[in-house]
Parts: sequence; C-alpha cells; structure tokens
Amino acid sequence: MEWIPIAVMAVSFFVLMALGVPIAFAIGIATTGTMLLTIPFVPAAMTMAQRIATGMDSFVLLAIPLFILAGQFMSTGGVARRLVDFAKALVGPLPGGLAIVNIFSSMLFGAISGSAGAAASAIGGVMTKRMTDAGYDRAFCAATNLTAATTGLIIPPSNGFIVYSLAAGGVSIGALFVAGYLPGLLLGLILAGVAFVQSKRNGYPVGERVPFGQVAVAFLHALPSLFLLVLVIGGIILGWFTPTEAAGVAVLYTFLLSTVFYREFSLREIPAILLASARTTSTVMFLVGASIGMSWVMAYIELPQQISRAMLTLTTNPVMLLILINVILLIVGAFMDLTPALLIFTPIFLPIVQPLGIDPIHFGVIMVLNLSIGLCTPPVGSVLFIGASVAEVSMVEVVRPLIPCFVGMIVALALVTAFPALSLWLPTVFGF
Amino acid sequence: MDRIKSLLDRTLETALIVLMAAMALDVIWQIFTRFVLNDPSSWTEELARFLMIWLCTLGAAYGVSQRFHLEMDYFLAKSSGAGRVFMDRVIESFVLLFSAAVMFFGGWCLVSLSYSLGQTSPALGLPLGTVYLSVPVSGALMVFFAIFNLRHPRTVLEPQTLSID
Repeated sequence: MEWIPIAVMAVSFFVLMALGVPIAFAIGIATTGTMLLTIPFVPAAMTMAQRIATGMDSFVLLAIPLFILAGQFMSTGGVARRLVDFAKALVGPLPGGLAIVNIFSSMLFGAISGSAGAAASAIGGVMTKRMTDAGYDRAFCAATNLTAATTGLIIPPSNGFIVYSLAAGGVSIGALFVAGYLPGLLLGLILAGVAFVQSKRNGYPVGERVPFGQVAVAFLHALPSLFLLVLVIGGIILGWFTPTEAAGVAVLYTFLLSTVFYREFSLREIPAILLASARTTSTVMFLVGASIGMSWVMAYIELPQQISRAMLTLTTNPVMLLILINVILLIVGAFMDLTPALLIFTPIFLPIVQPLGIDPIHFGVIMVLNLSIGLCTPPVGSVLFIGASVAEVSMVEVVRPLIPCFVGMIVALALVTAFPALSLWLPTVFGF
Repeated sequence: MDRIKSLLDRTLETALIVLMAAMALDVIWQIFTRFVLNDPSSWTEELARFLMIWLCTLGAAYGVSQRFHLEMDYFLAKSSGAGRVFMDRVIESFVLLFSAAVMFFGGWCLVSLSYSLGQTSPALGLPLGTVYLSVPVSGALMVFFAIFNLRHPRTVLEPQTLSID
C-alpha cells in the first residue's frame, strides 16, 4: 500500500492550503501527519522540529537575508530615478520609447535588487506618472511594468536561484546566476518588442533624441548603482567570494551608497529597514525549514519515483515531458508564489528529468522563468498585485493589456526550454 | 492579554532588529578578516548560521502575531461575516496545533536530547541545545499568539506580498 502515505500527504497539504492555513504550517502539518502513519508521535514531532532547525542551518542560505537587506537599502526613490534617467537617455528615442524605458530600467533595477516586487513598485512609482502624462494608457503602463519586473528574477543576482539551488540539493549558485543572463535579456527583448508593436498601433509618442553628452551624464549618475552588479557577479565568477560573502558585500555597498553617497535616508530609518528585512527573511526561511522536512519525508515515501513512473507512462520523450512539466508549473504558478512552488516542486520534478539528460542548471532557469509568469497571473500573483496598485488600476483592467505580454513570456519560456544553450553556454564559458 | 501581546511584540521587534544587524555585521567582518587582515576568522560562519536560526524561528513567531506568513487567501477573501470568522478560527486552530505539537513539544524534546548528549558546536564550543532552544521558545510564543488570534479573528484581510519574488 505504498500510495497511502502519498495520498495522505498530498490531500492533507492541498486541503489545508486551500483553507488558507499559512503554507509553511500546511506543509508542517501534512508532513508530520504522514510520518505518524509509520512512527509514534514523540519521534515524529522531534524529527520535524529538528528538520526545521537544521534546514535553516546553512551558510549558503544566508545569502538570501543579506540580498533581501541590500534590496531594502536600494528600494529608495533615488536609485530607481537615476536608472530611469539613464534608460531614457539610451532607449527613449525609439517608438513606444517610455514603455521601453520602463522595461529597460526594470531589468536594471530588478537585477540589482533581485526582487520583481521591488522593481515593479520602485520603477512603476517613477514611470507611471511620466507615461500617463505623455498619453500612455494607465493599464498598459501597469502591464508593461509588472511583466518587465520579472526579468530581475532571472538576471542575477536572484534569490529565486538560491532557493532553487537549495531545493535541488546544491546546484552551483554561481553557475545558475551566470545561466540567467541570456534568458533574462531574451525575456526583456521580447517584452520590449511587444511594447514596441502595441505603442505603434496606439500611436504613442516618440521621445526626442538625446545628445551624447546627456547620455554620458545620465550614465555617470547611474554608474554607482550599476557597479554593484559588476562587483557581486564579477566577484563570484572570479572566485573572490562565495555567494553569501557577495551578498555581504552588497549589503555594505548599498548601505554606503544610499546613506553616504545618495543621502536618501537617515540613520534613524535603519531599524525599520532591518525589521522589514527580518520579516521577509523569517517568512522565507520558515518556509524553507518546513519544506526541508517535507522533501525528506517525500523521499522516504518515494513520492518522486511514484510521480515519475506515472509521468513516464504518458511519455518518455524528454521534450514532451518538459512541455508537460511546464504546463503543470504554469497552473501551479497561477495559484502559488515563486518561493513555495520552487521549494515543493523542485524535489519532485528534478529527479524525473535529470536521468533523461536534462541539466539541473537548465531546468532551474526553466522553473524560475515559468513560475515568474505565475507571479503576474490572476487569481494569485504578488507582482500583478503590486504593479496594479502602483499604477492605481484594478487587477481586472490590467488583464487585457497583459495578454500580449503573457504571449511574449510564454514564447521566451518555450525558447529557453527548447534551446539549452541559452542557459548553459555562458556557464561553460566562465568555467562552471 | 492585550498588554502582554504588545509587550511581546515590542520585545520580538527589538530582538529581530538586533539579530539582523548582528548577522550582517558578522558576514562583513568575515570578509574583512579574509581580505584585509589576511587571517580568516574561524567562528564567523558558525555564528552567522546560529544567529539565522534564532532570527528565523523568532521571526516566524512574530509572523503568527502579525499574520505575515504566506497563505492562499483565495477562499478566505471570498467569504464574509460569520463565515470568515469561522474559517479564520479553523485556520488559527491548525496553526495552534502545529505550534504546540511540533514547535513547542517536538522542539523541547530536541533540546533535552541535545543537552543530554552534550553536543557542542565545533568552532564556538556552544552547546547545540542552546541553538535549538530557539525552536521551543518560538513554539511557546506561537501558541500564545495563536490563542490571541482565536480570540480576535480577522475581519479585514491585508494583501500579502513576499519581497523576494
């Protein structure tokens, strides 16, 4: 009766989650309940408590809270404004100029802060007024802004890849970071193409050509923010520091940048920034701890093998299997946020695709890109929510202009899935 | 009970701020000792991990108090009035169940086992029981906050966002 524990775990988890029990607690209860089928209460409770504590006990994972803190230091208006000015000088004169400026600055900000939500709110906060003043439709602004914000999850540094690396059992974070560059740029270019076509059709204004001197000035203003990307990723690639130490450097750099250099906030605001980071950190890490317990029990009851067997009866073709997994993940992503979905589904799907010759780094890029789309889709999409509220439109209004962006994102996902080289070429070049 | 809750909230906030700052400074110190002093510190990595365990378990308890844990509130958002109050109480009962059984009781068993085995950490020589103590402490706080929430069910839902997504 090997399917009984699997049924108990799956049914109790989904019922608890649908009821609205916090996901970490739903995972914990479903996991402990499944253990109780075979072992007594005291060791089951103790094992789960131990898994939660040891799940958080990792120096690699420490990169997440530090990148969160660095992102908080960057989330003041000054960084976003300087990046927007630089993007405007560079790509403003194209048709649909401001929409493309929005996308380009979201890519830069998202990469620096490592968070799509932060990019959507910071860049959206600066761009919505400029775009609507120039005659752009408000819902179109929101759709462009929030989909472009997800590029930041794929362009490194990205917390999504750190979570994946953990759930996948230690895939190199440096390799995943480097692998994200081309897919992230591809996604940004496709979204810019979508905005270009729509802006032409709607007759949105074209920005004036900017003299070279002004471009250079805007670049110099944005340079201190952009330098962080070089420092963090360059340091990891060259082997100067581990991802966790790189995140520590990012904290120190962003702190000095926003307090000493840009003078965006006073030292009195720092406790509030630390508390906000601690909130996000503990939400994520408690989820990580509970998921570590769950994937341990999943392996014990052979859940990945069972799902694998079921899926392999449908098809053994790796391409068909990747398409099937992508469809499942798109549905999952519509209801679940990126981090919990990565933690729960990576230990299930990776053991299925890996024996078929799919590289764990390639699969990580597929998973993060796929689940990023889910962040922009109703009914549950945190970036959709932030993007709509920053642009002051309802989520229902945004859905129409979102559709072409979704098509673009799906095209990017299809290309990244079909061409492993997009993800794997750069890591090979850099010797990972 | 309200007085105790606000006292616990303020204490937790202070603890989280201090732990977060200590963790960041610890990692920065590690980089400093390696690159500037050329004498890498042997204890910073271990200390950072232990600080993180305390930060995240205490933060998780603070999350029960402030209700910032990620949840799927799709059906909860569709409910209203007495139905929502009922659903919210059911949810909090499950939170209470897990906090009491696993975090508090399971955590306590874990702590007493570590102490009786006399396990200590390699670099700092700290008893591991002291590190794991954060789990039952967090569990006890969660139990208190969950009972508080059962007595004060939510009527208004706040939108949730996770700022790393």
